[in-house]
Amino acid sequence: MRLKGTVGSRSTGTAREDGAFDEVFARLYRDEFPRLFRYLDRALGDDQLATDLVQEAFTRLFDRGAMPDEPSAWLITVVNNLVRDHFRKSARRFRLLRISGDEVAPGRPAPDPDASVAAAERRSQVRAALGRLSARDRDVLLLRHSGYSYREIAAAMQLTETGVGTILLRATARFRTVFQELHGEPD
Amino acid sequence: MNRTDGGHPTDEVLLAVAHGEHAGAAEAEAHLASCAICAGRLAALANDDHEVAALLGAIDHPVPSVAFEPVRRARALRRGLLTTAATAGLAVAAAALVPSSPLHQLIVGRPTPASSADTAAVPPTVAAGATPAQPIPLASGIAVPPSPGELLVVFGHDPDSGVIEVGRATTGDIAFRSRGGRTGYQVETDRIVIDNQAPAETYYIDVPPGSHRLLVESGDRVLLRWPDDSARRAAPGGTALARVPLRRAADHGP
Repeated sequence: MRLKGTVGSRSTGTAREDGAFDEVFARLYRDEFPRLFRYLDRALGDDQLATDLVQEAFTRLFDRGAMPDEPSAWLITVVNNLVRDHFRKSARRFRLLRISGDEVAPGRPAPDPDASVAAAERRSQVRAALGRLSARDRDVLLLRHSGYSYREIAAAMQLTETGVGTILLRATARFRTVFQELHGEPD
Repeated sequence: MNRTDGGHPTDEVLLAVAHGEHAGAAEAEAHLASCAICAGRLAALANDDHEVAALLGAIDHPVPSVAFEPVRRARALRRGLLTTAATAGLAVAAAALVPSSPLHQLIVGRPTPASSADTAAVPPTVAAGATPAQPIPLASGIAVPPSPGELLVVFGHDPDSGVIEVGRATTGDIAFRSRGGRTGYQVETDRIVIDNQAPAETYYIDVPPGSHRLLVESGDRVLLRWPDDSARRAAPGGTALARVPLRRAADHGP
């Protein structure tokens, strides 16, 4: 059984000393950044925070200087830990909002076409439905729909691939049911 | 291949086939070629999967284009500044507690006579009955991360005028600002105290998408439960999601 927090803790032969690390890292960054960002952006609903945390995960990998056995799973584990740390530490965090010279409050865009309002409403509906899933079901569903394979999800979430399939089936059904309960049939 | 008692592949297997994942996909596909029932089940599962994918796509932000090299440099810079930042952070926190400090003035929204920039940024109080020459700008405010449960928002002084407007936040934080008056904020775990020492015209609360819960109270009266009151307090025709007029307790309706 894989112990929590040990995903890919061993390293492959790709280490900084052999000169190939930077090349492998660059390729990994190019390939993994989009789907890791997609997963975290959907999970958090905050693209700035998602960007920061994904960058932090890659920075930690770079500082590590050696590739883990399962880089994708390693990165997912790290960003999930970063998210937990972020919300634990931010219980008392607040930001000062600077005085605004404009006359429209932030978050209140000028009146826009109906399409914009409908899109915002749809985003709110989807996020509400996601909020009704258990954390694990939500994470597995979001990882799958961000492009991760069953094997990668299983490694990151400490599940078997069969377990991933079972959760995906349940999470898909649950998400659709909750969405329909809250908002009716999708378009 | 996992099968039901009737010899058909399970839903898990069919969904894995739809995902192009299952190791026994060849066996399952052979079955699917000769079983219309399972082919129909596969189509339904694939349709559900596409439906979920489309819904999730609705909440996507564009993937930023961020090269790693600047991140490395920023990291190095950040390390160098870490000690300085920690020291500065303590100094800022201390300064915020000193009533006469500019930072304290910024947080509580009071104009600082010694600083013309601050005075220009925060509007002077408008005399009763007078018409302000300029629209009253937004005052400073704060943003806090949503609470896992319910965030309690309490007015320090029972408001007898003005309005609360709930809007949609552009970040993942809940933002508090005001327009007019003098407003300070005290941030505690799961609780914000709005120090409305001079009544504001409008108290803005911007809430990020999601099922974040807010309870806004003054004394023993509940001014707003969000999102439970969102329909009752809806602001038709405006850009705000909800509006709550603030009146004296005696005038406050049910």
